[in-house]
Amino acid sequence: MSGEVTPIGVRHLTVRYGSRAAVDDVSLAVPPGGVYALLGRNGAGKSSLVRCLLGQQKPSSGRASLLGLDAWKDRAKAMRRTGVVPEDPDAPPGMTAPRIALFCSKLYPSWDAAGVAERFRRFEIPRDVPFGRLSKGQKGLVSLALALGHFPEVLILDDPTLGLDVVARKALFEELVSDLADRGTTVLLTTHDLAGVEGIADRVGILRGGRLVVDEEMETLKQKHAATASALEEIFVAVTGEDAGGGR
Amino acid sequence: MTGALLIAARELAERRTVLIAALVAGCLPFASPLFPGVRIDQAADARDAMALILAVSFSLGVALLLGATIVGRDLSEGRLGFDFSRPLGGGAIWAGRFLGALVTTLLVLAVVVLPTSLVGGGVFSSSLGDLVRPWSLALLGAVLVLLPLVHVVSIAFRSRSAWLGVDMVSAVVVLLVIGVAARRLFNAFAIGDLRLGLLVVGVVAILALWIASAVQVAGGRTDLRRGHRLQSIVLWSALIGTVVCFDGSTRWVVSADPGDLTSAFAVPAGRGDWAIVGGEARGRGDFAPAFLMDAGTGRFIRLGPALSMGNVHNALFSADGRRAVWLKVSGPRDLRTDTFFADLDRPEPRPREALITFSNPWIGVALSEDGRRLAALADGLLSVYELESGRILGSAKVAGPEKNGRPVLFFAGADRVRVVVFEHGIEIYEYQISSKRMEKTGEGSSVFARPSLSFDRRHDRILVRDLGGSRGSEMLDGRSGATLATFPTSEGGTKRQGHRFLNDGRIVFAERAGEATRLRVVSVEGQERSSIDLPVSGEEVWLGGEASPGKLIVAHGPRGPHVAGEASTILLVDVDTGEVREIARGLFPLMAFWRGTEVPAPGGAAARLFQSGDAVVYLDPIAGERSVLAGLPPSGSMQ
Repeated sequence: MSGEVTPIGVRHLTVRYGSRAAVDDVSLAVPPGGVYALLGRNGAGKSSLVRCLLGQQKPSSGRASLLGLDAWKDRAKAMRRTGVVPEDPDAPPGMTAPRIALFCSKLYPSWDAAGVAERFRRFEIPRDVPFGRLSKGQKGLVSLALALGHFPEVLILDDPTLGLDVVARKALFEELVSDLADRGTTVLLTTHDLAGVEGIADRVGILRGGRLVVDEEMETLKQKHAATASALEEIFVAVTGEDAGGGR
Repeated sequence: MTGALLIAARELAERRTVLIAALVAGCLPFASPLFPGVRIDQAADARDAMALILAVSFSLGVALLLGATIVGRDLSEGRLGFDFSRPLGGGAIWAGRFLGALVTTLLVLAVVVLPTSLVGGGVFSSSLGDLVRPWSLALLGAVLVLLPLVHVVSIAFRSRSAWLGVDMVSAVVVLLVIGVAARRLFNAFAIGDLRLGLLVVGVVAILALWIASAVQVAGGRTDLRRGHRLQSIVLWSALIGTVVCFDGSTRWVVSADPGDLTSAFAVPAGRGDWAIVGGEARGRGDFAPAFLMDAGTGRFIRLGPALSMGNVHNALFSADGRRAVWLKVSGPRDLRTDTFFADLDRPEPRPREALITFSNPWIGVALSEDGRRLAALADGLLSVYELESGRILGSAKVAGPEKNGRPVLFFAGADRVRVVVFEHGIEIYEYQISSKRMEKTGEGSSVFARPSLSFDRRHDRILVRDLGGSRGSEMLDGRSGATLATFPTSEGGTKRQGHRFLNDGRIVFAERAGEATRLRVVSVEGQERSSIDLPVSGEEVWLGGEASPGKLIVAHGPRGPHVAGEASTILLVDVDTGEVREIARGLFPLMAFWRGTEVPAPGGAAARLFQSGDAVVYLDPIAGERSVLAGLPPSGSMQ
C-alpha cells in the first residue's frame, strides 16, 4: 500500500432522504494503521456514512473512498482489500459457518482458510448449525472471522457489538486488538460501546444530526475535556448534550 | 462470471429443500390409480396427467416464490449487504441470484416429472406427448416472464416509495396503448401484423423486465428505494417507448395510401373515372387496404381493410357513377355489417355512414341508378332502404330463393327491384316499392347445365350463356323470362370464349374455331349483323369495355388471364366498321371480370383500367398513353 493513499477517506459527503440530510457535508480521513471510532446517537447518520463507504449507497454529493478507490464506482475492487462487519450479520441464513467460509474462500485469492477455521474454533461456533440459527453474538463473531479471513488492509465495523453479550463483546474486541497488533489494519468502526473502543481507537469522530461535530485524536479529545470528563462516555454526553443511549 | 456461478450454486444449495419437496411431489402421481373414478386401463394416463399438472403448478409456484424473494426479501431484511461486501460486481450478484432461481425452477420441473418419466415410458412417449412438447415451451416462457415480473412487482411494493404510483399509472398507460393499438390491427384484419407486433412487444417486455431487475440490483445495491427508482425508469422507458412505437407502427400500417400498394387490383365504376382499388401494401404485412380512387386525378378515400368488404365484393357504384356504396363488417370476430357511401360528384368526397346495418355480410345488394336507394336480399327477405336517412322503404319475402343459388338483384327503374333466381330453372320476382308488392313475374326452364347470366344496360334482357358442354347462349326477356332468341355457335367445333352487352344493347360474342378467332355482333333484336375476324391465331380472347360507343377493347394472349396479363395484346375493335387496331401490349382488361348485372358506359374507368402484373394501369385507349394507378408493374412493361 502506498503511503500517500488515505485508506479511508470521506470528503464533503452528504446523504439526503427527501429533504432531510442524514449525513451533512462530512469529511474525515483515517491514515494507514489508524483506528477511527465514529460515534453518534441512533439516527445520527453513522450507518448511512458506512453504507457510502462500502459502496452500497450512492451519496447525494461528496465522495467516499477506500484505499484511494472511489467507493461507489470501484466497490468490487475496494472490497477485495476490505473486511466488513455489518450492524446486523447478514450471511445466508441456510448455510453453516464453514460453508459460508468456503464460499468466501473462492472470492479472495489470499483467503486464510486455516485462520478462519481457527477463529471459528476459538469463538466456539457450531460447525453444523445454519447461520440463521446462531445466536446474535455468534453471528457477530462469524462475521468478524469472515471479515479478517483475507487479511484486509481496511476493516469497517458498523456497530459490531450491538446486541452482543459481555462475553461475545469481549471476544470481538480481543480479536480486533490482536489483529491490529499483528498487521496494522486501518479500521473505522461505529459503535455505542464507548468503553470498548476507548482502548483501541486513536481518533474519534462524533456525528450529531448528520454533521461531524467532533473529529479529534483520542488523547487530544480527552485533554480538551479533562476538566469536566474523564471517560469517553462522559465526553460523548458532554458533546452531544444527551446520553449515548441504546448501546449499553 | 465465476462470481455469478458461485452465487448461483449457493442459491441452489440454499434451496435444496425445495428440490426434495419436488421429488416427493413427483412420487404422488403413482397414487393416482387409487383415485375414485380412475379405471385400470386409464392408470398410466392418469399418472402422467397428474405428473404434468403437479410439474406445471409446482414449477410456476416456485417461480412465483423465488421471483418475490430472490432479491427482494434479502434487500428488505438487510441481507443483501453480504454480497455487496464481497469483491463481486453488481451484475454478477444479479446474474448469480437469478440464474440460481431459474435453475432451481427448471430442476423442480424436471424432478417432479422424473419419477413418472422413468416408469412406463413417461409423458414424453405416452398419448400426452403431443400435448407436452408445445406446452413445455410455453411453460419455459412463463417461467422466464414470472421470475423477473414478480421480482419487479415485489421490489415496487417493498420499497413503498412514490414510484409505486408511477408504476401503476405507467402500467395502465402501457396496457391501454397496447389494447388500442392491437384493436386497430385486429379491426383492420391484420392478424399477422397483430401477432408479430404483440410478439415484439412481448419479447421487449421480457427483456425490459430482466434488464430492469438487473439495473435494480446492480444500480440500487442495498438502497431499496434507489433500486426501485432505477427499475421503474428502465422498465417504463423501455415499455412505454416500445408500446408508443407499436402504436405508431399500427397507425402507419393502416395509413397506407395507394402509392404504397405493391400488388393491386381494381373494381371500376360503371360510369366515370372512379374505382375501388385495393391490394397488398409495402411493409404492411397482411393488412390489405382498399381505396375509392379517381383514376383520372389520383384522388382517393381510404375505405379500410379490403377483407372487411369481402375483398370489395360488397362495394358497388351507382349506374350514373355519382355514388359509391360499400358494406363493411366490424371486425374478424364481429360480423355486424355497416353501410357507408360517398358522393363522388362532390369536390371532396367523404365517407358517410348510412344508418343501415346488417347482421352479417352475406347478402346480395343492388343500388338504384341514381344511388339513392339500396336493395338488400338476405335470408329470403328483400329490403329497400333510402341511403341518406337509412329509412326502410319496404320489404318483402322472396319465395324460395334461399333454397336455390345466390340470387341476382337489381333496380329496374327507381321504383322496382327485380330478383332473378337461376339454377335448374329461372324464377323472376319483381318488388314495387311504392305499392310494397312483390310478385313473381316470370319463370322458365333452361337447357344449360352451367348457365351464366348477364343483363343489358336497362335490365330488359337477360343473356344466358352455357359454360358447360354446349357453349350455346340464349336471350330471355328480363321480366317474364320468355326466350327471345337463341345463339348457337356458328359452326361445329367453335368454342365460344365470351360475350359483352354493348351500351346500346347489341351483343358481341367472341368465338374461336380452329386457328380462326372472330367477333360476332348481334343486334338488339337478337339477329346476327356482322362478323369480324381478328388477327389472332390459336389464342385466348377476352372482351373489355367500350373505349367509345362501338369501339370495344379486346385482349388476346397465349394462355389464361394471369399469364396473359403480361403476354397479352390489347386491340381496339370498331364493331361498326370492323377496323382492328393494336393499342398496347402486356395489359389485361379489368372489364373481363366485370359483374354481368351492369353495363358500363363507354369511355370510363371500366374501359381504361388494366391489370399489368401486380399493378393496375390506366390506359387512354385512343391516345395509347398509360400510367400506373397502383401497384408494381413488371419491370420494363411501362415503356
